[in-house]
Amino acid sequence: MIQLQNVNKVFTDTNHNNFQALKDISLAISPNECVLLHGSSGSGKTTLLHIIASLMKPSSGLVEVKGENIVSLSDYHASAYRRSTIGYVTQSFYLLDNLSVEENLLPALVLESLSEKEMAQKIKKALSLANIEHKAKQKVSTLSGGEKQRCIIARAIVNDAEIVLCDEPTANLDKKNSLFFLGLIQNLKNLRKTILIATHDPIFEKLECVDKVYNLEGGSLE
Amino acid sequence: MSMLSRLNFLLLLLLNYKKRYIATFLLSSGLIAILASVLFLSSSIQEELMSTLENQADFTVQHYKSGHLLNTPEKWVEEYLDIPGVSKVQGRIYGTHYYEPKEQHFMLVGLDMYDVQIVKGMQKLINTLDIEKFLERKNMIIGSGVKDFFDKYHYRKYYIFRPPDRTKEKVYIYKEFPKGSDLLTNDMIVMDMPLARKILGIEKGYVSDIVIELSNPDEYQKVYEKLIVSHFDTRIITKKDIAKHYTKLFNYKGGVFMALYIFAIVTFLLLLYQRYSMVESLDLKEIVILRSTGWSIEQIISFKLVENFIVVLSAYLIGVILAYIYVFFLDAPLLRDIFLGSANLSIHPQFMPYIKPLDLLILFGIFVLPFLLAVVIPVWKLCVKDMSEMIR
Repeated sequence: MIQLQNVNKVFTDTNHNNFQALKDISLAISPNECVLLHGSSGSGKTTLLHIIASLMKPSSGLVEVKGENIVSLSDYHASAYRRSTIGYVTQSFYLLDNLSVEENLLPALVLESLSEKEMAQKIKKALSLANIEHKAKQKVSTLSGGEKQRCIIARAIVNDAEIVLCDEPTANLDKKNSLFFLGLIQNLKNLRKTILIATHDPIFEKLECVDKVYNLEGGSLE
Repeated sequence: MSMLSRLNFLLLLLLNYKKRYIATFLLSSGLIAILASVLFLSSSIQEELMSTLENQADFTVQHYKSGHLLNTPEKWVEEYLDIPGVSKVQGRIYGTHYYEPKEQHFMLVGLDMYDVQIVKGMQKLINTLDIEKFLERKNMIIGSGVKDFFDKYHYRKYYIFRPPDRTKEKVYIYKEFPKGSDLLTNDMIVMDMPLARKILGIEKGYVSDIVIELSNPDEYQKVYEKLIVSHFDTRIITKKDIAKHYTKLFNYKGGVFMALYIFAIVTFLLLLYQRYSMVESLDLKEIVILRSTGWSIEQIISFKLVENFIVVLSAYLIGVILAYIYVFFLDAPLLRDIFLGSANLSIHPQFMPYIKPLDLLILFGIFVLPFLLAVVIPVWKLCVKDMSEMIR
């Protein structure tokens, strides 16, 4: 499903200093696997997720998703790939606060040629899976942290993405909501999604459905 | 369907994030309203003046001596009639009547009320004018400014003029010029020619000036040359001179308008700067959401373009409508004083709607394009930014 070979990422700052965020990363993730990417802050976890989501190009190396090399995709095709294949769960609550929960799912759908009915069905299904259906009409600004996170998950899966990438999903949640999130991951796994979770939260050790754990430190896999 | 969905989503954002646009919208509407008002007002006045120019004679001959304007000998009328190509020559009687106690002056015009063409012209302006009744006694037709002035000093039925020979001339107010003609008739008093001649003290055999009309415009240069050489103490004013005068009419107010335009430009630049910096703080979140849900840079930029185009177009339309109401329904209070402030009597004209579409188009281009650029450039800069810096 996801194949990375000798992936490197080097950032250059305004003073022309280089910083290597990823060093020779090679990994393989099979369909319906749940993979945990462990690492401390600044270890390169987010960079790796961005590369798999085609939000960023690697400096070198090969990235194949479903047999297609996504490194050479143009912005337009990379965006189309992201829309059809990737569901991205961000660390911060990137939501449109003045819109309702269901309206926040629209950005992931409006580019598709869907009828209103189809759209409504998809939204309903995603909200139900993320267990936030009861707050569908409520404005996001009035939600708790846990509810906001569920709204982000609903947005990530509303387009039936096969791959769900989670970037520090419990960083802004209390223990109760973090445990609830683990339940949601289990549900996604049951739906045969491929899941990659970048985290340094030890709570994920309790997650039973994890198939693989990678440790990323200083940009290298250990 | 995708387009419609995108549009629905866009309207949803616009309606739910009104506060984000309200300052831009109000400021833009105000700015457009000010600039469009100036455009409407100047177009309307210039159009009215230019349309009066069409009715002006081709030449006006004035008699000058040592730089002083004198009355023109009436016998020149016959001389000019002999010039080939000239179709009509007429002596005019007009001058200024000065009301010393209040330091006001009126434009006094004497018309030949037995001339069928003149009477027709007057009747076009005042359709209820009964010329026989008008000539029954010493009557006058007055402009709105004169009427207001007379009312204020209790000259409601008549006014007593004091000609230079120290006699008294009691002249009755017969009618008032219509409000729509205020730009031209505000301080004007029209009466029969012999009466005007007496009040202004213009001797028999003289007129104020002589106007000449041509039957063939191709004869213009030849007639002009003949007029110049016919008498050496004359000044020939051509229709072109009057047109130039009208064009330059507002030049002496250039300072005021320059200040107004500088104010508008500075406000507009501040607005652009505000919009430019606002993109950084407010739109960042939106761009991150759109990028992570599979929007390409091109799709985000076009979405932002349409979003801001709707805001700026609404502001533009509201501004233009406000300007239209202000100028053509409310007769531009305050601004008209800048335009017409030189009138010695206060003037309350009714401006006739005259709009140059090109002016509105230029205003639209000057306003909308820089505004959209001020949005697109920072959005594009954000879109191509390293996502690691944005999604955290």
